[in-house]
Amino acid sequence: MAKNKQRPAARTVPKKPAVRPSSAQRRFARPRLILATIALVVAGAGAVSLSLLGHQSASASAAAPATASISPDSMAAVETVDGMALPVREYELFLAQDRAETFAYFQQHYGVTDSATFWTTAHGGQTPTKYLENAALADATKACVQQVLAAKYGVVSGFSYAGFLQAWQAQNASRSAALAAHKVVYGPTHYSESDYFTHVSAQIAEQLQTTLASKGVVKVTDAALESYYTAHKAQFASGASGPAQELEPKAAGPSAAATAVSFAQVKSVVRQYYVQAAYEALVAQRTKQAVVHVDQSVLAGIAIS
Amino acid sequence: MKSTSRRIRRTLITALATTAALLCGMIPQLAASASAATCTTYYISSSSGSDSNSGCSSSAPWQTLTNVNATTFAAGAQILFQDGGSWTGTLHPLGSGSSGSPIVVSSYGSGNAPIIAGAGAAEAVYLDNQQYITVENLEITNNASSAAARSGIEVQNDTSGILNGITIANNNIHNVLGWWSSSENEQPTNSMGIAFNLSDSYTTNGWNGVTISGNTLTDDDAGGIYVGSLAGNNHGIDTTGVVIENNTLTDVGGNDIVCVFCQGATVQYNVATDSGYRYSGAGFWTAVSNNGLWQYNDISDQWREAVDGQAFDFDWDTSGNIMQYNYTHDNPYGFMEFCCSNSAGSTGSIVRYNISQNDGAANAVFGTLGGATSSGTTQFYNNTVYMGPDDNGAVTGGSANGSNMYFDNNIIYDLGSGGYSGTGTWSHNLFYGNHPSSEPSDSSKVTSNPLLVSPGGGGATLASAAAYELQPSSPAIGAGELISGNGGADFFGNSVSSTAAPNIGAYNGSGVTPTASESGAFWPLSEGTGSTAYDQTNDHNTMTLGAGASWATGDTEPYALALTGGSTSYAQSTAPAINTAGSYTVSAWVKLNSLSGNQTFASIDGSHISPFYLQLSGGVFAFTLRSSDSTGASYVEVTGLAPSTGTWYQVTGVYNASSHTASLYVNGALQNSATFTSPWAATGKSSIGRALWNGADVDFVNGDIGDVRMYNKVLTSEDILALGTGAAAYFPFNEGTGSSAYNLIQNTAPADFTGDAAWAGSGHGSSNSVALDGTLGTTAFSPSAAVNTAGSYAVSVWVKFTTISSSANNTFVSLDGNARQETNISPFYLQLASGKFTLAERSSDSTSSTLTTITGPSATTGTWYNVIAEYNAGTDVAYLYVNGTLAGSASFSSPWAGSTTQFGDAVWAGAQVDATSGDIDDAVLYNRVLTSSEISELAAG
Repeated sequence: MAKNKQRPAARTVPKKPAVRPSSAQRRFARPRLILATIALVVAGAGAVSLSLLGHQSASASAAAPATASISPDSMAAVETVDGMALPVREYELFLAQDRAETFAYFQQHYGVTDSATFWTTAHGGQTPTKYLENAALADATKACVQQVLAAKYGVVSGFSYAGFLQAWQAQNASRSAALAAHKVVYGPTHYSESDYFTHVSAQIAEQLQTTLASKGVVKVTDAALESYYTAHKAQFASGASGPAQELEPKAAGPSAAATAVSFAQVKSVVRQYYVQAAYEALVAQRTKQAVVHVDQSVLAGIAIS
Repeated sequence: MKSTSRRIRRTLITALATTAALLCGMIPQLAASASAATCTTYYISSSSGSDSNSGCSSSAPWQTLTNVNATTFAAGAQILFQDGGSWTGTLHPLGSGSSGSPIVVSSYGSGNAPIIAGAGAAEAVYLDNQQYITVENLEITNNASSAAARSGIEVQNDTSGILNGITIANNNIHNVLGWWSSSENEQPTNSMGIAFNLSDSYTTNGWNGVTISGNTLTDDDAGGIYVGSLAGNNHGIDTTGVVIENNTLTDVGGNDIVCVFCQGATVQYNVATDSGYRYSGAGFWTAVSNNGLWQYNDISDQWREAVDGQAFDFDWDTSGNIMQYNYTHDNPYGFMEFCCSNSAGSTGSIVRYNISQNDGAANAVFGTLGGATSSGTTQFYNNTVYMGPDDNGAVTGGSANGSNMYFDNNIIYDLGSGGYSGTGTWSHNLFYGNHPSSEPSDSSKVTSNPLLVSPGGGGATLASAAAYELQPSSPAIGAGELISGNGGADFFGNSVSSTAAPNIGAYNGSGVTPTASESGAFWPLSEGTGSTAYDQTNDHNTMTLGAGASWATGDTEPYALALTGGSTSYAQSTAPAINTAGSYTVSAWVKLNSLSGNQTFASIDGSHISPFYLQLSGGVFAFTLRSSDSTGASYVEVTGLAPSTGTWYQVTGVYNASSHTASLYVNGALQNSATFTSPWAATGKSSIGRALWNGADVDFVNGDIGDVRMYNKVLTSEDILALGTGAAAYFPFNEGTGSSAYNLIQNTAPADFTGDAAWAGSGHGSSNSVALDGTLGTTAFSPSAAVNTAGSYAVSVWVKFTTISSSANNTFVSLDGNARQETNISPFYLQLASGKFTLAERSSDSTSSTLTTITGPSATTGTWYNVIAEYNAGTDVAYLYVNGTLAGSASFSSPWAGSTTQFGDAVWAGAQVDATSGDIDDAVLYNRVLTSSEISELAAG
């Protein structure tokens, strides 16, 4: 998600390319490794900022996209979240992710299925298009909030969707190269854009939780952990303490009733849960407080069918 | 699952036409489907199709599942659902392909993967007694208002024989609301994301050639992938050719990947995380199966809902299975287990070259060892196990049934309090950390620090497992014993000889030197509450506060430790944060209540004494180093100034192993140095507020301690000056590699290189600096404001110009504002204007704000200058210094805070301006004004 309120356009991070990019190509972000886990980069938004650059000085010519796969339109801002822009292409990931739920909702509540007019027919005062837009915007807004937090606390140096795309392409290139060299590749041999985004977002969230705890933003005290453990004791109970009973050769009875595990035994796990719950509450709170402005004309230009 | 390109496969048609005709003659039509046997490729479009179409082209597609489910397809048929479409119910095409000519269910068009929504049906996709079928590129859900036994994809064999050739590939299977109760006494092979279920009416049925690859399974209950039967029993091991690979499982409800009745299964390259919270099961497991290869999988955060919960389980009636090259971490119920007993257990398993980090905290790393039988040989070799200070689980649990279980060449790095269950024969292992009395006897063991590159440093990625490589001087290198049939490769792909002694652990290379950032510790001591203080560099030097240690207001941080001088009033971790046999630096902020006795601010325990004491001694600050781990050892004591109580001081001790010099700094100023030639490595706890002497805790501090750091290197005098003067940020620009410049103070993010920014190869009195080529967008950029310009602040930077613009400004330090992008500017610009050093202050975040400037002397190219900008919020005066000389001052009364920091250009009206051509080095920023002596020190470099 580009940070176009506080950052001018076109910061690029070259990874010592063999051939220097042209001045036009430099406008977009290139991947870099941070914390050995996340490849994200500082960059500005595409189309919006480019037009501003145009009138600043003679040397700042209108730039062509860095790579053919990133069109200026797909980087236009659908909405801003606390001043930070969500580009169309990132928003489209959420449209894809929430599509099945949209079909299911209208099927369950109104008995309608896909048809030539499915997306534009209103039921209960709402079209599936509008339902999907709202669902995707809500999820995308929350993702933006997490990215803001990640940048603020130094988990990433900044987040831009253009940088994410470069990192994604680099990730797949390295997977292809590893496969060609008969090396090990864990997980998918090739990430879809959506799956890689999910993967990176999960990594950011995990790292952010650790960072928030170590910086004291999420206060982890023994008292808080104990009371969390007590409130969720059933969750930490475990099954039979004897040998595991994954499969019994004879017809065996049900597994032993769950027995409580002591706080000390699961303290590190309780801490993980506690921090995760506190983190999710923090994100929910920040999402509620976020100032969101939707660009209706850009939104309307995104076809849903 | 969306992919960026889709191709519609074309199969050979010529042979198929004949085949299709034959089949059509043999198989009665099940419904009056107009298209049976008249297409080879069938198209189904939910938005624009019609079931009265032929279905044979994309311009005449079917619409619903009705015709598909009523058609018996021929070998080579393709059944293609349109991208963007959605179908509700169960997809159950009929017919079988043939060897080399499968029936393929896939997608066509462009857009989102076609959605098959089971909407609560027993299956979303169902195959029954069919073979040579591929199902790919679909998005599959099966949600409902309540859980019940249901699957995403269910493949059923109700025959007595073998069904061949089923491929499930590249599907996105999510929100399958299945259900399983272990009290039902059957396995959940009818309730998984992907289930292959054998009828229990026969003992001879099975599969041959099952490929499950590239699928994403998320939030599926009761689990991910299961090949087996409901009874899980009374079948021959008749399933062959199973390959389950490259799948990604997240939050599946119970069992992740299971293969039962499998001969020679390969389960590899899968990633599973965050699973097992809702239904019982282990992560990856197998039963009634032989000669399987479970390798190159990455499993983390597996949970135990009822029983098991380990990442891996080789279960009953398994023989000759190998668990190798896996990376598992943070699985509280363990890395692996066997199940279940001598009469029904696991035989002849090999567990080798795995890396396990922080597993077993609520159980054991290697659990239920009594699940291995006394037949054959069960081997654990060349594994690396790390258990951090919060992992108090057992290393081994359960007792082997025979004397046929062997542990060889394993690294057990255990900082927790767990022990061993006293089983197995151990040889040539390396035990490091805590040594419980239950530690097995091992006549060839090693107990020295294995010198892992970064113990506890493994993260979420495969690449991060490189933390478990060995440093070149590791005692584990070549210290293992030769294992016959060792597989020939280690975790990392290094070869393992069949004749020479290997290393101990999962890494068999010759050693890797870690970078400085992988070692050391930084305790900000900013928690302010509780009894834990975290190491901000990583999680494995966590400090625990003793009784009587609490919190007070800090100096550089909001809080600090408050200590009473009592014998438990200190903080300690469980491991040495640094290697005191080499170069190192230790620093702390201290404010003392009492000046009597020895009070040690930071140290590390040896066996008897500490190798160094950063302390107050005889009323003065001292850095004392002892020449061996004995109270009789000789020592040097580097002394410094005599402090007053109630005042904060920053104290830093440096040991330089190359020059054999120990130095002490107070508030960034060198106090003294001395020669010291006998450093030694302490391997005990790190502590704040005490030391070790004669095996007992001593030197308790009566005062406050904040911001404690330990480095495995010599900090430069500039580094120590920045630390010692309480800088808010300091960018040394010394790395020389990578595209990021770290901030030594670590309270704000590093500065990333943008545009053409690169390392210069030399700096001002240091090894490097950042070189900028004068193009807009070429900067070192940090997304945080390194300094708060709403109050007093100071910025010191070294700059050397390559070219100086006579017309445009060249800004070398500035911030970004916060206003809407089209108008935002910087609160200040430290720049050349018309070739002269200038500090420009702006009264608000707007291009129409008032400008206040201080102009200094002209700059020339090729010379290093120190430039300091300062603002005193108390007196509303701004200052500019060049090379330590005041260039001018001006009144300024409207400070405001910026948001991000850049070195090398600036922002004006939301766009980049003022590019700088030259090198920038040693940027130190403060949230206060500087004293004149500090200005002189900074300008002196």
